[in-house]
Amino acid sequence: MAVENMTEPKPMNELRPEEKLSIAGWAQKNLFSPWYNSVLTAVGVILVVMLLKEAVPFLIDAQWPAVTTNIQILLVGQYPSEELWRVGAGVLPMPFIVGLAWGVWGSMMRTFSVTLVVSAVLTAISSLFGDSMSSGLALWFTVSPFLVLLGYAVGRRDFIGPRQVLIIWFLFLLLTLFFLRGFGEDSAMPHVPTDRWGGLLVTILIAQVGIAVVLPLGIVLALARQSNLWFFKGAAIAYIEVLRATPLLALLFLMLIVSPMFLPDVTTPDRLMLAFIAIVLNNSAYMAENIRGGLQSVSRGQVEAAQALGMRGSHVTLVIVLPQAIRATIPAIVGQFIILFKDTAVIALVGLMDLLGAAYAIILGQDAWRTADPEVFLFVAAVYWIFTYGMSSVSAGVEKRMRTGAD
Amino acid sequence: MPKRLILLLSSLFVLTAIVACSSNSDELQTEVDDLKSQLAAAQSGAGGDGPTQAELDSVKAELAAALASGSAGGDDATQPSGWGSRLKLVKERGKLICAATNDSPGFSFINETGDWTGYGIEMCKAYATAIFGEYENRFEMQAISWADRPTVMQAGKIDVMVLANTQNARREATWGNFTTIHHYAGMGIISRLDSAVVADDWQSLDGATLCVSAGTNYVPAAEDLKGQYGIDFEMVQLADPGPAYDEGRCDFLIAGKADLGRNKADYTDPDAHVVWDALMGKDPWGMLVGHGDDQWYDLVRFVEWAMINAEELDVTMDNVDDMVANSQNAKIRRMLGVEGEYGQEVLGLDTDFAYNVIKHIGNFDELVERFYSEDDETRIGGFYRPRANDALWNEGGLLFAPGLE
Repeated sequence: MAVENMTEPKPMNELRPEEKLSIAGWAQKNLFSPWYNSVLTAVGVILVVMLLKEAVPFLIDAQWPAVTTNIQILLVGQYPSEELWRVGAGVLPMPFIVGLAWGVWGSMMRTFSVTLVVSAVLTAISSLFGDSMSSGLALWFTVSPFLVLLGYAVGRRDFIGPRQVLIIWFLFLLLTLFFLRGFGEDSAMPHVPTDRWGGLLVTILIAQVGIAVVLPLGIVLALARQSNLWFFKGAAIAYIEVLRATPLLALLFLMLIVSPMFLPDVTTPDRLMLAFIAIVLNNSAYMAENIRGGLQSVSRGQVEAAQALGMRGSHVTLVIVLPQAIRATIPAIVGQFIILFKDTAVIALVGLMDLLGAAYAIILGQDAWRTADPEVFLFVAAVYWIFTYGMSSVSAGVEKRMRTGAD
Repeated sequence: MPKRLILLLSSLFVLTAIVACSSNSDELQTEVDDLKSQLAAAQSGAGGDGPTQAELDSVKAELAAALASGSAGGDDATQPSGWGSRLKLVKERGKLICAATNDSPGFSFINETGDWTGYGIEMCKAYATAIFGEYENRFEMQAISWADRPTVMQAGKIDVMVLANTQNARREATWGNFTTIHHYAGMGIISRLDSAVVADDWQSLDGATLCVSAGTNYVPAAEDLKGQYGIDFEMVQLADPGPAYDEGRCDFLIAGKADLGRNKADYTDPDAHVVWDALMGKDPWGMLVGHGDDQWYDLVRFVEWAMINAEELDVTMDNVDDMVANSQNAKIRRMLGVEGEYGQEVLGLDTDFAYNVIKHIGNFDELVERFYSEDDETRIGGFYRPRANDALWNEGGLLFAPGLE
């Protein structure tokens, strides 16, 4: 047990027996007593009714075709139409891995998985009511919930552990990237340059690859900052303090617009890669500070005890300090992941077409939908919400598990 | 001690790097001078016991090679430095790179299947066709944002900026060269019929209220009106003035004239507004190329001019083959490359570049009609924009394109 100062011998929810209340009793208790809560409830109801009175007619009359006819660029941006099968096939393992993680980790992944399944099912159903979505895309959304369930079934078996899930996820991510990128011009999968990737695909890829890179980088930086060697310590402090004090947008402008001036003439820089590097640089500085907080929370006694047992310095750090530090900072780490996911939207401002960039391209560039900005932005917000809500529910699950001490 | 050593080593390293970079051109210069003096000596001594003709030729070839690799183009001694460097780069790359924003309806936008579309993109294809004879896999679009324009032009990584760019002196001076003007835009006024404002009567604006988009060049233009006509009106600056104007908060609105017509259609009652005939301010639109390479500037201009001339001469995508075979009109024959060379080669173009462009892209009118036609059925993505000032000179417009004579 890493946490020493636990005051509660048992988790909260077991201390207090759950009260069973009728609906009326529940309302009486939560909405109308004491008297000022009745006033607040009344005001709240009036506000909700006023909102719905405006929102319901809007949602019914809304120009949803702005979203449905453009679903392709919202999801994959400018990825060539004839190569779309590669996106479908390349991203197909993702729902499976989400299901696998659900099976292995159990409850803490449940909300995330269920949210994804429900939204995929809703999308598949909505495709029945319009002919705008391509059949391949509709098929993808129909198949993916089953893949989540299949992954869950496999994950429930004992032959696969958390570490294996992470390895599988990482390998599939690499595979997906190769699949999307393609090979030579004449091969079955011709090269698709990254400036044609876009939409939700880019948002999710940057977030996933970013998470895979930022966490290790953050750990290395945090350790370097704690180091006794002046060079590593100085370099880590310089890196963290400079990049944490630079706005992400400024960093993006530097990477995408200023850095090409220093590159040789014949090479055209990969803009998506430059944007990705900017996001990683910025987020890893924050991540390093999160983890440093965790490192400092591990009591000195742990280190001394390990040294007393005759463990070597690096061994003490890797086996004793780091696991406890990371464990203590998981909520902060997941919080940083959520920030990273939302940060990806900033790349729309430097002309890249992520989900938000695609939304701008539709309402500003396509004359037919010049007045459909509420619809398109609502769709974008909903998609972001689905993913960030899923991620924060994972974070909540982790915290709950840490409190109960189960592992 | 080790600190000092590292400092010393790193400063040495930086110094070497600087020297290595800067000495490149100097070395080349001495090499060229050396070869030149050798050549001069050889020529003066020719006939006697000097070098043989073969030796002379080899020195000459070396000289030419050194020159070609040194100055970025410049194999033509009569042209200024920089001449031809961009075309050389494009040909080495095998692709033309155009920059555009994806938010200009009809001009540069992305369609539902994710493809770049619009007048600007067709022009990028036209330049690629003029250079390579085809555009498939020969051009590449790079998405930029409006704020990127100056830095993208300075970085010089792109060949042509195909944007709805307004030409003015400051941009011409600091961004690059504006090429052929293909759209004579300007600001216009829309006013409410239920207000005291009367269309095209400037004095009627006195005491009225204006809605205008904050932070744009419409604001100073509106200020100018006050002094120009001795009137005064209230200005409401908003990020998106359209809805406020529609709700009746203002009597008139200033915006790009081409936008006013379609904005009108979005208002609650489109018939309650009138678009003024007056054009305020001059906003000529042209594609942009970087400074310093006159050949590239000329090449890009002549491609669009050739398309305008094709409209004037009634050469279209469909009849261009027939024109090549049968036309007796010397202007058409020259333009299509049937009758030899009129400077196209020095510009880096094939003699039949105009034929290729018209065959694959069409003439100016065909191109404009594709995105700005009045016909809702055939128009792709854009909106109806009357030709007005963009008509040919002999049809009352401002388009007056130099030919190949």
